[in-house]
Amino acid sequence: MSVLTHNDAGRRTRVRLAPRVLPLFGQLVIRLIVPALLVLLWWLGSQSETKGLFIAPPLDVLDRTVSDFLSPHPGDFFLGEVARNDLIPSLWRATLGFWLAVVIGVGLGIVLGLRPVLAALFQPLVHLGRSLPTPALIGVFFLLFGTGDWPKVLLIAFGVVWPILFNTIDGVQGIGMARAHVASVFKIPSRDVLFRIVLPGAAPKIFAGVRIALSLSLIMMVISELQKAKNGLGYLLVYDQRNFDYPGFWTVLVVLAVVGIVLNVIMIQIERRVLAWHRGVTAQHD
Amino acid sequence: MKLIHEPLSRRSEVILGIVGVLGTALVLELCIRTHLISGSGLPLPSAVADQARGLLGDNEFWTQITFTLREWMLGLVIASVLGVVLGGLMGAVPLVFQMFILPVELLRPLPSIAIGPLLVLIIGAGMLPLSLTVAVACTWPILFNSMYAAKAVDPIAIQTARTLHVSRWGILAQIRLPAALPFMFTGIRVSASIGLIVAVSAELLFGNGSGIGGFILLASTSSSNLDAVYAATLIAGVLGVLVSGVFAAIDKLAFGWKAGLAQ
Amino acid sequence: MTEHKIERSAPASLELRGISKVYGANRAIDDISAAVPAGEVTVIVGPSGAGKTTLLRIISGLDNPTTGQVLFDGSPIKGVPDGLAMVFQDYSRSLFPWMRVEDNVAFPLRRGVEKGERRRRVLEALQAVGLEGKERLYPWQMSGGMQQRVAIARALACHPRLLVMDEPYASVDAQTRAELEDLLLEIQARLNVTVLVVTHDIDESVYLADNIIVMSKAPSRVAEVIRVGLARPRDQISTKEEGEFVQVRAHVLRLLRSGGEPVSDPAPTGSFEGETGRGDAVEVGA
Repeated sequence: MSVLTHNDAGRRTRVRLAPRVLPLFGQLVIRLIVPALLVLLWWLGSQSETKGLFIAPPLDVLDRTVSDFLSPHPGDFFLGEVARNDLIPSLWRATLGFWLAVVIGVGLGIVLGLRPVLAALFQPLVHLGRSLPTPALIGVFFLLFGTGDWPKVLLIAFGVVWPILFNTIDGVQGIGMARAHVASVFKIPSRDVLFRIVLPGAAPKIFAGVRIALSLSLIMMVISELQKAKNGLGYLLVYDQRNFDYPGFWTVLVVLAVVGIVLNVIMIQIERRVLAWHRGVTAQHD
Repeated sequence: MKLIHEPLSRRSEVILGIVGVLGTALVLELCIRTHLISGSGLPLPSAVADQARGLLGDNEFWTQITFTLREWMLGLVIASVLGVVLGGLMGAVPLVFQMFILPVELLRPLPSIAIGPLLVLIIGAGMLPLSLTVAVACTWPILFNSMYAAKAVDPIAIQTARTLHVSRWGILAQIRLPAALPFMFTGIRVSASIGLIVAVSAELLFGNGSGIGGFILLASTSSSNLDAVYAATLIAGVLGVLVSGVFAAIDKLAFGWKAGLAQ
Repeated sequence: MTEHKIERSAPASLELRGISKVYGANRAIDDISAAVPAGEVTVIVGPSGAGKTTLLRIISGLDNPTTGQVLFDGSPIKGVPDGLAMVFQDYSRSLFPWMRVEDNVAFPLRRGVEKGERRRRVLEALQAVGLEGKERLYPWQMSGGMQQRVAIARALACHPRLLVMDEPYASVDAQTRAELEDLLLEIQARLNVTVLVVTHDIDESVYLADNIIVMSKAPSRVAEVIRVGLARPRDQISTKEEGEFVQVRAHVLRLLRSGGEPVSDPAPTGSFEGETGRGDAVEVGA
């Protein structure tokens, strides 16, 4: 496909358009080739004699996901039984843990970022904390906080706080000498310095950390439910395995992927609004 | 609120860091001993340190450490190859991007920990399913970093090379690749740390008893040896910090020049 | 709405007495003593590394001298004096990209000036720098020259008695620079504020100045203080054709080349009277 246009010398010429401007249908086909192949591989795997037991066929999984997680009753918010009994509690705990981590991570991160002495004191501990294999800590948390929701929430928070803390410290420390001088010369009061210079200035890095924390919180949510749990997606993974309910197992995987995607989309939308100015600045620097 | 601070000297930073670690351990020790925090089975720093020393002197434990390291390295290598190649192609060739972006975005949120048990069932016990779990977790940061790296090569550098009559392949090898490498390596560096945590976690959750995680798994079955669990966890954490440090050093050595890039 | 007749406060005078700054073994500034008369434009020039920016930081109270004093209207300063406003070199890093132009200019006024008056001053300042109507834009939506005008407007909105500028036009192109120089002279004449500029551009220094303080190379001292008698208002073309302009310019250049050692000029071809102001008859470079 090409168009008639004028080149730099003012002469009429034909320009071949890049393949991006293929008709919409062509674009759709290109995007679906690989996913289709993967689904085919999936199906082939499920038909295999030796391994087919563990790989539930794609259609069965889809069927089961719908029947387990969705329902036609508006009274249940259209949520199926498994969604109500396991998905919601899981997400609830993950949300609590995530927000706890955000508050602690950003708050502590600002304090440490503004005070180099404190940052230096706790630097090795922060590095150590984020390198700890969190499943190993399930035991500690149950010991300290008993059974129930609380230890799970705290475990999720503990696992997820590190990228937020790290990135907040980094963001605050990177405010820049020029802005610090402006704050000093114009005698900006502390409150304005914190909320109108430090936080907005560090916001891009903080958001980067929060994004990592969000996807990490799903993982931590699952991990926190693998032992001593009564409900939840992680609990289901273990339960289904024990009962050889492999289709059920696969539905949990599907739902996890869907939840992850939805959270990502929401995150991008929020970032787009809050950090609109940042895109403008970086665009100018190009 | 003071925003301007005299930067701390390297020496001060190190000293303060050591003080921080020792101080925290001391406070924790005192809190537990004086029953400020109570409960049995809490990690008493002195006891844990003792156990850790014992473990590090034990050859058996070192076998487990090497198992974990080998498992981790295998996973990281697989992820690096996959991530760099696919990510690089996706960044450089729009068609490849369009073909693979959907499955990448759909598979990315899946926790590798959830897939692990399935891999063990399909492949059998041993190091491979664990390494593959590590690979799954590590691929995404490498892939995305490589993708951005391949896309973002400075057009001025390319134009300069063209005016110097460098061939198409020459541009690829001498401009595109070196420019993209540091950011690809950043992805690998990030993944390295993630990978080690995933490796130990995978051993712990669905391994067969090998590796540091396997050790923790076996040790936590007997509630009388919780200190060993804590000690092994601590060692795993320290190992992670060391790995981070090594990769940071490699980064600075090989790619120190990237600090001067116009970004 | 009552018309506020703004009291233009009296311009400030500055005196530097024996300023020195030592960093460990590095004696950056040796001895700077000079006067910055009220209501005039004083320009500081010096070779690279002479510590001009360090001196400016000391003058504005951001940093403390090792010895010596800065007298603001006769009294020694403690921290940043009231009535001082500063324009930094790197506008893109001193303006806040997450705020619109109007918020950037109003930012220093949030403390002590109430809302209605703030708005009035912002519009007044933007008009003074030729940016009326642009208050709702973001800095990164503007060119470099316009951004620097915003930075100047921010300084002006504070109704300063002393305006300090650190190489304000170093990051803009030559034509914009000429415009901004004329803008500065016009503002100074209209508001009768004391202006202190640091620059490395010699033409600019002679064009703007009533007094030029020439610094020697590090460890820096005052090599010479030159009184510039060129007529005001100045003009980019005719002023630069005057004999005095050519001679002062040459003299400054020779001083800088000699590193601050006394120089002798060839016989003048026009009228030029240079004062060498050395308070204590101490030899430069001894």
